[in-house]
Amino acid sequence: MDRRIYEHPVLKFDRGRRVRIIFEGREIPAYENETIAAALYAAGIVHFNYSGRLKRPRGPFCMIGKCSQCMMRVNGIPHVRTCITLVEDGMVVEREDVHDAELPTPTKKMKVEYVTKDYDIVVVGAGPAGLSAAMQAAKLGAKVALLDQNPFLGGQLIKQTHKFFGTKDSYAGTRGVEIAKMLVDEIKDYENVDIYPSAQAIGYYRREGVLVAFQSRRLAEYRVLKLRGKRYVVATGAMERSLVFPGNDLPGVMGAGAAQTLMNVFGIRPADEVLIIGAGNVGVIIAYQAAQAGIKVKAVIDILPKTAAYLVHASKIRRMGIPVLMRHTIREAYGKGKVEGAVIYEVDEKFRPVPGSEKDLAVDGVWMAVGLTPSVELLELMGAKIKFVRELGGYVPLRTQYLETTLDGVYVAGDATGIEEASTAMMEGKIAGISAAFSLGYKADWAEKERAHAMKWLDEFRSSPHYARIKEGVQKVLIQK
Amino acid sequence: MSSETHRFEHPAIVCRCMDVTLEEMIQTFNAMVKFLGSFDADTYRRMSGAVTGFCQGRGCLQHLQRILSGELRKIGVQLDPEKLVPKRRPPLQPVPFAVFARLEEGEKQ
Amino acid sequence: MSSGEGKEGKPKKVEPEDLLEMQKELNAGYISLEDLRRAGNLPPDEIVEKGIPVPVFDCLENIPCTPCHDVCPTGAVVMETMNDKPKVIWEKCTGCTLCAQACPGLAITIVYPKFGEKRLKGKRPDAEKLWLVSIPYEMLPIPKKGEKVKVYDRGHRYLCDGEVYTVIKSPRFGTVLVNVLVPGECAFEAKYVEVMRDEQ
Repeated sequence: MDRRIYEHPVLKFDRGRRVRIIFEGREIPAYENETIAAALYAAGIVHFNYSGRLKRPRGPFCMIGKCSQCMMRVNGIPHVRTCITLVEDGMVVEREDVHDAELPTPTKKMKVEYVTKDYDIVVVGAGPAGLSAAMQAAKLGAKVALLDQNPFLGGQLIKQTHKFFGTKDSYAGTRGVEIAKMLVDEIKDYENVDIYPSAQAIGYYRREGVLVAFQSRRLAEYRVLKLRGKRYVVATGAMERSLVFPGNDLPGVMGAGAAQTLMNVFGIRPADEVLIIGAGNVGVIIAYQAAQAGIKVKAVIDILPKTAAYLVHASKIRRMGIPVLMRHTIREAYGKGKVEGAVIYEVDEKFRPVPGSEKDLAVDGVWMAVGLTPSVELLELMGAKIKFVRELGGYVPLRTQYLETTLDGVYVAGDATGIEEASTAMMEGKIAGISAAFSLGYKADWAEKERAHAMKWLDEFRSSPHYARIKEGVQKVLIQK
Repeated sequence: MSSETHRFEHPAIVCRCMDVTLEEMIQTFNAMVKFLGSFDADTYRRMSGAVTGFCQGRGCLQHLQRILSGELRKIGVQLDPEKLVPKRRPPLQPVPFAVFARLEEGEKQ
Repeated sequence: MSSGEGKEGKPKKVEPEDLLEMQKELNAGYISLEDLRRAGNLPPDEIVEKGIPVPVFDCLENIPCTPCHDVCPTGAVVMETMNDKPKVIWEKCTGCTLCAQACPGLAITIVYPKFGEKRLKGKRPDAEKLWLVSIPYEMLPIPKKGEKVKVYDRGHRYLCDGEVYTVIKSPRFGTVLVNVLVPGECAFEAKYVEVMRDEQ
């Protein structure tokens, strides 16, 4: 079985050289730009391991190194997160029982290297916010480290095939994937920026002022990065929310972002027929992208009475014949070893089930697009004050208008400040990057202008009735210093 | 849909890493109230096992918070959302033991 | 819920086709012609009478988005701030279709009333009744010139068959524009096409 997409209306996939991996004795074709998880999915393998206590079959949920559901034994090394580990020719991949103690029996010697380095500014996260922050700081002359936990830079931009809204300043009309390419190409030109892909921040030690990151570009080759930044910009993005329902852990049930990663980054159809839960912007956009990938979307459902998506996005899939059912939610997903179907039902105005409204959809994918929540764990660990703000999607850091948190010298930008858009993330990144560099004494007129412009732009953007809530939310965490 | 009248094929999983079901989360809550009378997220985490796995709650912390505050509301307790955040400790991501076991080796500038 | 949920209460197996007619309301993302008329997004009759191209903006919300305004060479799309809804000055539009190609929401179609009467007279017998509709398109397969397509409305209701007059693929926008000849009465309803090809 080959689930790869070879013809796509807007994307071209650079898969690189063809290699092969061995999964449980079977040879599987793969490409060198694919992660192990992607290559397995391309071969139709969705069951990656057995869960700890209940020994349930499991497969990836997030596809970006956060959920740990994709762990497998690779070349004798247990617990490898296959969604962020690139394939290598001849790799031996096996399912594992994730709670069993397993002695690593690596097929080659593990390499561990320790790197200690000083920087003006350490930027954590290379999505639209982190890239913009690093770029502005670098333009001002600061020495910058930019790290991201994924093998590819660009954050979630790299999976956005739709053209962006906004204005010329925010690349409106350009597809996210192209914006990512432009930003990444540009940042690579700066000699004063060190880029660390596949590097996860694992700790921050306040007394020493050191951020420790764990980098693994290839299997069994590890680097421990001890990075001392005079300033930090935390642009760690967000994590997808999920729902609790019977069968929610079946392989094939995944976050919308995971499905996007497979479809739009790797060009792989994760399923043939899907149910999408959540008719906000992400839900309807992913339905559209699924159709572009040749996947049949059986329905997009949402428990709310009115779609939270831009009407233009929602109407785009309505005219294509994709049903959007408001006031509907999922009762259960069912199937043997993987999802084979889902039962949905209608709710009344008090969210109680409407008797007799159950509908059974035969699907091999259930994708959840039920919102995002800011990833603030690093900021919490660093000691920044956070506050629960519903309008911003969860716990977010207090910050000044220049995006400095309660910790001096620690800035924040992008979805980690509250769930918003890629365009606002870029603007926030500019503000944080410039402000961090200014505080170190770097100066330039253009940067003053750029920062003022970004702040004005954000204010205007948030004046849209669509974002009135965000504006309110931001007020709740704004501090003076 | 009430679970009394319908038997589901699969459990509803709250924490995937530690395999904690929704049913168990509720049982744990009830036990916690009965025996400890304590209500914070850290205790709930320790007793239920949720948010203690490989991913450190990236998937299930939101569920734990929602279940905890929801169940508390049922017994008339309003919890300050700031108390719903468990303490974070490094490492924030799973790291092979081998990496730290060799911390002295080959450090380079 | 229902205590009678036994074997008889087994949920009904459904396919998307069974669900399509449900929730044809704005809240569920369905825009009706009436919604557009009420919002003033449809051209007045006298403009249509003139047989000049008219853009139809399925854009009813104040969202921060400006490409249609930025790209318009004649200033026919007016917008004060980025959050304003685009307002069309009908007389200024030349039907260049740039806005339809630029719109990130694929919300704009261009209707060219009486196109057949003006441009195809004598070339084909049905010229009189044909209007031209330009529809942005990002799916596969991409329609080809001369090909027959099925034409759908905003809720995927089949309207009529159409014929692809031309296909514009501009690298600048990356969104294909399919220009379809349809009977005049379908023109303002037409919003989506599907290729009818044997191998599909």
